[in-house]
Amino acid sequence: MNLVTLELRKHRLLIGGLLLVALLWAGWMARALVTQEVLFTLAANVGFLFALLPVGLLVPIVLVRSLSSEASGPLAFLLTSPRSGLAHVAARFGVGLGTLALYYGVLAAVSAWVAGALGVRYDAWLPWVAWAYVLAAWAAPLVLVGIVYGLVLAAYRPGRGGQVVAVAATFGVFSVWSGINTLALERLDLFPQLPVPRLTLPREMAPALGLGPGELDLQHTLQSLFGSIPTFPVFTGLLLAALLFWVAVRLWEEVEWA
Amino acid sequence: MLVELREVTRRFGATVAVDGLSLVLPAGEVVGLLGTNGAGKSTTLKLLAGLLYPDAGEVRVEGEPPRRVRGRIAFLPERGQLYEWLDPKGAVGLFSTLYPDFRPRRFYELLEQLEVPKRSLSQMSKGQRARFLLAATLARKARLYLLDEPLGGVDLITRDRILAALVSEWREDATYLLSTHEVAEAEGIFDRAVFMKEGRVVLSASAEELRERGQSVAQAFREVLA
Repeated sequence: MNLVTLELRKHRLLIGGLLLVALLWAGWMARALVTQEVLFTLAANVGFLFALLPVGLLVPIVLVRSLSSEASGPLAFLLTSPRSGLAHVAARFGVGLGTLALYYGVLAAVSAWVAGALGVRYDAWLPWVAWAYVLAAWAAPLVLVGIVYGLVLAAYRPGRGGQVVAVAATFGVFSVWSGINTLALERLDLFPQLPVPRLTLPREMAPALGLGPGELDLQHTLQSLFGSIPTFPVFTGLLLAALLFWVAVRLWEEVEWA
Repeated sequence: MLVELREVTRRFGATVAVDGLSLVLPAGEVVGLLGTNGAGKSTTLKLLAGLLYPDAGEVRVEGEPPRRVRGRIAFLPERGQLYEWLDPKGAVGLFSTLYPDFRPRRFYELLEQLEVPKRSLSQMSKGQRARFLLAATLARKARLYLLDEPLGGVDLITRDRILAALVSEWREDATYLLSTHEVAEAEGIFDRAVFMKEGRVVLSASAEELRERGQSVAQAFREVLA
C-alpha cells in the first residue's frame, strides 16, 4: 500500500459510485440509440450530460469529509509520518483528479459515441479538448479547494462561527477565480485561442428543429457568435490549482493535532 | 540529551495546559509521565511529537524541532484510531509507507505477544484495538517513543501484556516516555518518574532516588500530587 492506494482504498465507494452513474447513463443512451429516436437521443444526451456534470462536485465534498473525519485519529499517524506534505497532498490530489478524469472521460466518450452514431460530424480533437478543458479549468481547482477546506476543518476544527468564515473564504476563492478570469478576459490577446470546432448535425435533424432542408452547420453559427474559443479559463484554473496546492502543502507541514 | 523542553508554555484559549515547563531526558530511559487529569501530560507529549507548537519556550528532540525529526519519533495518541477496514496485513502496508523504520516482522511478533487477532479493526474490541495500535507504534525503530495512556481503559491482563511488550522492546539508544494513571501497575518498568501538576513539573526523580527516599512511585504520586 502506498499513499495513492491508501487514498483509493479510502474512497472506493465514491469512485465506484461515480463510475456506476456514468456507466448507467451510457447504458441508457445505448438503449435509446437502439430505439432510433434520433432527436430525442441527442437532446437527452446533451441534457443529461449537463445534468451529470455537477455530480463531479461529490469528489471535493468527499475529500472534505474524509479529511475532517481523519482528525478523530488517523490524522495523527499521517502527520507524524516523515513523508512530506507534498507527498500526502499530491496523493490526494492525484486520486481526486484521476477520479474526475475517469468520470468526465466516460461522459465525453459516451457523448462522442452517441453523436457519431447519430451522424453528427465533428473534429476528432473536440472530445479530447473538451475533456482536458473541463479538467484544467474546473476539476483541478475544485479538488484542491476540497483538500484545503478539509485540512482547515481537520486541523483547526472551527466551531460554527469559524465554519461560516471557512465557507465564506471558499466563496472568496471562487470570487478570486472569477476576478482572475475577468482580468484575463480583458487581456484576451495574451492567451492563445482555440478555433471553433467543426460541428455539423445530420440532414434528418434540420426539419425536426424547424429549419430548412440540409445539414446544420453549427461551426458557422458559433463562429459568428464567438469567433474563437478562449483558453484563459484553462490558464487561470491551473494558476489557481497551483496556488491552492502550495497552500495545502504548507498547511500539512504546519498544522496542529490537538 | 535526547529530549529538551525549555520554559515551554502552551495555551488553549484561556486555559494554560502547559505552563513554563522545563524538562531534560537522556537516551535509554523509560520515563513515566504522571499526573492527574488535566495536568498537561497529553499536551506535553503532543508538543514532543510535533503535533502542537508551543506559545513560548523551545522544544527540542536530538537538538532539533520535533517536526523536523518526526521520522525518529513514534507517537501513540491517547484517542488513537485508525481506519476501520485496516487489518494486520493492511497495517503493514500503511505503516511501511508512512514510516521507513517500520519493521513488519516485529509487528507480527508483537501482535502475537499481545494476543491480537488477525482481523480488521472494525471486528476488534477496545482492548484489542489498543494493543494493535501499540504493536504498530512499537514496531517502529524510533529514537523516542511517546505513548499516551497505553494502559488506559484496558483490563488488568491486557495491561500486563502491554507492559511485557514494552519491556521486551526496550533499547539502550531509545527513550520511552509513557503517560499513565496506572502508576501501581507500571511503576516496575520506570527508570524515572516525572510528576506534573497544573502544567508544571513538580518532581522529576529516578526510580533509584525514590527508593533511597524509601518511596515507591505510587507513594510519591500520592504525596506529590494529592
